[in-house]
Amino acid sequence: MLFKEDFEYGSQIHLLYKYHRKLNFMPSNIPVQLRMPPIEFFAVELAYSGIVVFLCLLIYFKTREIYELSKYKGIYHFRNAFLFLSLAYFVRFILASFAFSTQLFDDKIEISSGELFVVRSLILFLTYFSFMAIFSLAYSLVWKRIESGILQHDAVLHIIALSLLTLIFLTRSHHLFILSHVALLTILVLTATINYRSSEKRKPFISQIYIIYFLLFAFWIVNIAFIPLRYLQPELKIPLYAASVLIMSLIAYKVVRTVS
Amino acid sequence: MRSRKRDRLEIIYDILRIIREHNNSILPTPLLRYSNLSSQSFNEYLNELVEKGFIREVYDKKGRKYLSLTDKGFRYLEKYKKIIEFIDEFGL
Repeated sequence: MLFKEDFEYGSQIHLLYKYHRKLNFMPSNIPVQLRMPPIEFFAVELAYSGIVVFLCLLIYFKTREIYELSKYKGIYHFRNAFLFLSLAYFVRFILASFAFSTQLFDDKIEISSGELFVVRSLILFLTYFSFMAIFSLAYSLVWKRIESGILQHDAVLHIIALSLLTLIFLTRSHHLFILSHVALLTILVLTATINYRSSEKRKPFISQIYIIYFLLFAFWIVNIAFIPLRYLQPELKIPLYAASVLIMSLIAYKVVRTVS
Repeated sequence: MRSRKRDRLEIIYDILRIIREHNNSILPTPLLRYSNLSSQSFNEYLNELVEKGFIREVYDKKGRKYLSLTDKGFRYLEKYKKIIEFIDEFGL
């Protein structure tokens, strides 16, 4: 069996599994691409999500004082973007863990209606937090240009995110899920371009921070496109995770350096 | 041309800086003069800054109102450059 030797680590979970399931380790229809044993899969997800959530929260809390003093709307939305992103990564981790537990303890891929409800709810939360993160960052860049219109109200962002969410939920289309994220990323790029072109302190080439913003959400979309990445080969998954952590670390470093 | 919001942060900085430069005690009238604002704008900013705890009003024995910075006001002055740097750095 493909995974049998991978399970010889003697972890408590595996022992528990052995006692209850004897040697019926894994479902027979697990794709060949899945080469990581669940406990390692879980460890990688835990470490990755833990680091990213920590960095997002670091950005959020490090900017609290300058926001409280200035009440600057751009800082408010910038902080919200990272708060929502931390929530999105956290929910993504719960989803990945759920897949991990299903994979470890069940001998079938199909899940019960109760489990399906939990998974769908988690996906809804993930999508909502994800939309709000991208919206908030885009809004933080262009709020000055639209502050007199209807978009000045926070509620509008939530309503747009919820409307998109409802559409995705009703159609249950993975393609729409990915396409809506790509569309939002395009909006983010456009807002960044508008902001850059009208900036007083325009640098010779495109500003480094806008490239970082783009990469941050581009990697995020790849992250959620393969929820929960259980079928992605470790050879691709690890560099993807490393790149995401690197981008997030770069933003966190810039924030800490600027506000400290 | 600078944005309206940026101007707002700058105006607040100027008002607080003027108070600090006058040994942290100044009457409203000279503050209005030094801050280069219209009377209406000045009153709006002053009320906001008092409400938000950047400035406190102190009355002397003759009942004259002096304006002083609170700890929060001093902290704003300390952090102002960092706030502006942050806004520029992240394109906000």
